[in-house]
Amino acid sequence: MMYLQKGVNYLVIFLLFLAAHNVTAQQLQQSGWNNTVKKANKQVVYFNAWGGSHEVNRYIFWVGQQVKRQYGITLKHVKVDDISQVVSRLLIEKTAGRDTEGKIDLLWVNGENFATLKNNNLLYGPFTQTLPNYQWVDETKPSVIKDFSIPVEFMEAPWGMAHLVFFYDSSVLKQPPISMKALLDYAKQHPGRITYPNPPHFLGTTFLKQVLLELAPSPELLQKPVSEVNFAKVTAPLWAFLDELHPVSWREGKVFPANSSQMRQMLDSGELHVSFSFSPSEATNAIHAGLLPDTVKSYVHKGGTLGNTHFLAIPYNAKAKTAAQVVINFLLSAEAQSKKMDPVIWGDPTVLAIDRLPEDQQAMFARFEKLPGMLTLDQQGKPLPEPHFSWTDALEKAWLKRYQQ
Amino acid sequence: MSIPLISYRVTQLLCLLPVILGVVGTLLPSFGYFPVAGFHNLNIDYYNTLWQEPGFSSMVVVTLVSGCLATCIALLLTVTIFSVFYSTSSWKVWRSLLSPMLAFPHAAFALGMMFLVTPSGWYARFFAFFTSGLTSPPAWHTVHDTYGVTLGIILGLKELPFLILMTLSACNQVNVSQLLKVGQSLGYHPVYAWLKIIWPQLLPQMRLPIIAVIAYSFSVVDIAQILGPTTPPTLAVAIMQWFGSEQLEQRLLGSAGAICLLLLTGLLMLGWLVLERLLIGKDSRWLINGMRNRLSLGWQWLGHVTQWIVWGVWVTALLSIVLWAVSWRWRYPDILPSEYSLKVWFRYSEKLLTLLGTTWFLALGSAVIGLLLVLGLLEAKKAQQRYALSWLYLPLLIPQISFIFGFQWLLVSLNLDGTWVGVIWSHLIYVVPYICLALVGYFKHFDKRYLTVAILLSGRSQYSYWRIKIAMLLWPISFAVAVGVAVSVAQYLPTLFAGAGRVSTLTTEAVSLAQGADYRVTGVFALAQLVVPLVTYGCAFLIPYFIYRRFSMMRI
Repeated sequence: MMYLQKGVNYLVIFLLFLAAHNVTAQQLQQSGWNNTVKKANKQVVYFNAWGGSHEVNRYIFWVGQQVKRQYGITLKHVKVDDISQVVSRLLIEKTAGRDTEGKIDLLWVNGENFATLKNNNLLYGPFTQTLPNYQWVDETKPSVIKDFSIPVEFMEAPWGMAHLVFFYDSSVLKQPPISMKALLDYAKQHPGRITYPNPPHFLGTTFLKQVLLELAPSPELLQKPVSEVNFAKVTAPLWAFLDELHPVSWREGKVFPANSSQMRQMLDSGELHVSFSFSPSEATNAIHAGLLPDTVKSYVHKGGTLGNTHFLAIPYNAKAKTAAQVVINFLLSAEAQSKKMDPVIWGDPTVLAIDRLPEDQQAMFARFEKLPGMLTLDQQGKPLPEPHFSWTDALEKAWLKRYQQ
Repeated sequence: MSIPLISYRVTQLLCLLPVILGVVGTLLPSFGYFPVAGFHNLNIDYYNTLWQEPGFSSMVVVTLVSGCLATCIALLLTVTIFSVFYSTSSWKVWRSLLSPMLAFPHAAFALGMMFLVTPSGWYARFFAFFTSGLTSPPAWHTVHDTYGVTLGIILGLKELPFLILMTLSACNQVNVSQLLKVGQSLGYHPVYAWLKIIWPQLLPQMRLPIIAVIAYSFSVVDIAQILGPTTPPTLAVAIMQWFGSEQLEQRLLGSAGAICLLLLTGLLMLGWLVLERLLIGKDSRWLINGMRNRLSLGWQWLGHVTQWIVWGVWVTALLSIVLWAVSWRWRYPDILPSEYSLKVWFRYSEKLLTLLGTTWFLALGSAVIGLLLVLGLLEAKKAQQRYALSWLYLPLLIPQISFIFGFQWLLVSLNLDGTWVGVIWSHLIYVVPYICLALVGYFKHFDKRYLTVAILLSGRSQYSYWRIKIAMLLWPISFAVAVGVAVSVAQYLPTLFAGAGRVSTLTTEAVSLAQGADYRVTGVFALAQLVVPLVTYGCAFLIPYFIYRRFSMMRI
C-alpha cells in the first residue's frame, strides 16, 4: 500500500513535471514560431504547383494575398504542367552543387515524386511537426502518414485529399454503372462513350489501379513493392479487362483524352457518358462555372474507390525556407482549409480533423450547403489506399508497352 | 572596329552561339556524356533505348506524315494561289490578308482550328444542323488522329502565309510580269506560264524558306500538343516529355531523340533538293512537253475552290475564337452560344494584363534590339557580298527542339535562365533572321545616291544616315519591327526553356490553359495572344503614315 502511495506520488510529480515541461516547450515553440514569422517577413516564396486549373490558381492567388497581408510574404505561383519536371530540376541542381539559393521554395507533391525527393535527400525537414497548425491534422487518415506506402515522417505537410469520383449526366444516363464490370457492360451497349485519360497521366494510371483493385483476386498484394510480387500474374485481369474495353471505348481505344478536363468537356458535349476525377467536387465546381449542365451527378463504385493525400514540401536548397513554413502553416489553418473545401472555390477536402477543431472553426466547414452534383462524405465512403508507389511506374510502363504502338 | 562590324560580330555571337553550342550540348548527352547530372561515360546506350522505346517507329511515322503533309500543302497552295490569282482581282485581297495571317500566332491558330474540327466543334455542329441527324457528336477522328493528318493539314495552312511572303520577295529576283507576257504570247495559259516558266526559276530561290518550313513542321511542339496524335505523339512532343521527366536518364534519351529528329529533318531537306531537281531539272520532261492550256479551266476552278476553302478556314477559326471568348454556355449542337458573358475576361483580367505587359515587353524588347542589330550589320562591309548573310538563317534550318535543351544549359551556366535577358536572347535567335529577311531587299535596292547627296550637303554621315536613309526606309523598318514582334509573340519552346517556368507569356499560358479544356478561357487567351501582333501591325502601317503625311515623296 505504502509503495503504491509512493508510486502514485511519483507518478503525479512526474506528470506535473511533464505538464510543466510541456508548457515551457509549447511556450518555447510559440516564441520560436513568432521568431520564424518575424524572419519570414519580406521573403519571396516561389511556390511550384500544377497550374492547369483556374480554381486552384485562383485559390493560390488568394493565399498569396493573405500571406502578404498577414505576414508580409510575397507568394509567387510558378505554374508547372507536371511537378515531375520540378523534381528533375532539383535533382540536377543537387548534382550541379547548387545547394543554396535554389529557385524553388515550396512545391506541391505526392506519390512517386515524393519518393524520389525523399530517397535523394532533396527535402528540407523533418519540419511539419513544428508547425502550430499541424496539431489539427487528422493523422487517423492512413494516407496522411503514408504517401503511397512511403512513410511521410514529417518531410512533407498534408494539404488536401483526393478521392476518385465518377460523374454522369442524369438526363442521358439513368442508372450509372457502379463497378468496373458494369462499366464494361455499359461500354458494350454504348460503344464509343466510355474512356479514360492517357496513362502516364495520373488519372489514367489511377483508373488502371482502380480496375486492378476491383478485379485482382488478392488486392492486398498491391501494397507490396512490385519487385516482390509476380507482376504479370497480378495484373493479368487488368489487361484482360482493357483488351475487352478498348474495342468498345471512345475512338476504339486508339486515342485517349489527355486529362480529366478534356473528359469533362466531352461529357458536356455528349461525346462521353461517364467522366471521373480525383477531386470529389469537380462536378459541382464545373456546374457552377457553366462547364456542365446541372443534371450532372456524382457516384462512386460500390466497393469503394481510390483516395490519397497531396502534400507540400520544401526543397533542401530553398532560399526562403522560413517563409515557406509560414505559408504551409497558413495553408493548414482552418481559414485556408475551409476556403479550399468550398466546392465553389476549389472543393479540395480538408486534411484537418474537423471534430477536434475549436467550435467556431468547425462552423467554417459546416457552412457548405448541399450543392448540385456533390456527394456527402457518407456517400463517398472510405477511400481505398493507393498501391505501393512502385506500381505507378510499373503499370504505366506496361500500359505503354501494350497499347502505344 | 566600326559600329557595323561590331553589330555584325555581336549578331553572329548571339544567333549562332546558342544554335551551335545548343546542338553540341544535345549531342554530348545523347552519347551519355552529361557531367552536370553525373553521367561521364561515352556510349550509345541511349540510342539503343530509343529504338526500343514503345511506339518509337510510330513516332517517326507520325512526324514524317505530319511534317511532309504540312510542307506539301503549304507549297501546293502557294503554287496554286500564285499561278491562278497573280494580278487578278483576288490578288489585292491576298496581299492585304497576308499581314494579319502572318501575325496570327501559331498557338492561337491551332486553338481556333481545334474549336472547328473536334467532333463537337463548329463544323460538326453545322453538319448536324443541316443533316439534323447527329444528336451527339460524331465519332470523327479529326483531332489527335493516329497518323497526324489533321496536324499536317493545319500546319500547312499556317505555313502558307510565310511561303507566300517568301515567294513575293523571290519574285523580285525574277522578272515575273515580263516572263508572263512572253509565256502568254507563246500561247501559254497564265497558269501554265507560271508552272512551266516562272516556278522553275522561283523554286531555287525558295530553297531556304521551304527548308525552314520543313524544319519547323518537324519540330513544332505547341501545335502538335494541341492537335497532334497522343498514343504515341510526334517525336518532338515525345522529346519534350522526356526532357521534362523526373528521371535524369530520360533527358539523355530526349537528347538522343533530338539528334534523331535533327538527322531526320536533314534527310528530308536533302529529299527536297532531290525532288526539286526532279521537278525542274534539265531532265524534267513535263516542262518541255509543249502542253500549254490543257484543263486550264479546271485549274482555275480548282484555284477558286482552294481559295475559298483557305479563306473560309481562316475566317471561321478567327470567328470561333471570338465567339468562345465571349460565351458562357455553348453546348453541342448549338450553332451559336446559348449564353454570352464577359465573366471569363473579368475573372482573368489581372492575369491577362500582367501577361499582356510581359508579352509586349519581351516582343518589343527583342524586336527593337533585333532591329538595331540588323541595321548595323546591313551596313557592314562583310554583309555586302552575295550569300554573306546566309549564316544568319541557320537557326531557321535547325529544328528548335534539337538545340533548345543545350541552349538551356548555356543559359544555366551563365546564370541567365529564368531572366528577361535569357528569354529575350532566346527570342532574338528567331527575331533577327526574320527582321533581316524583311529588310535586306529594301536595303539592297536603296539608291545610294540619296545618301551621298545628303552627306555632301550636310557633311555629317551619321546624321544623314538617320535623317535620309532610315527616314526613307521607315515603312519597311516599321513593318520589320512588326514582324519581329509577331515572331517573338509566337515563340513557345524558347520561352519555356529559357524562362525556366518563371517567365510566362500569353503563348505559354494559352498552350498550358488549353489543357484545362475550358474553351471559353482558351478563347480569351487565344484572342489576347492575337491582339499583340495585330495591334503592332496596325501601328506599323499608321505610324509611317502620320510621319510621311508632310513628306509623302520620301516614301519608297
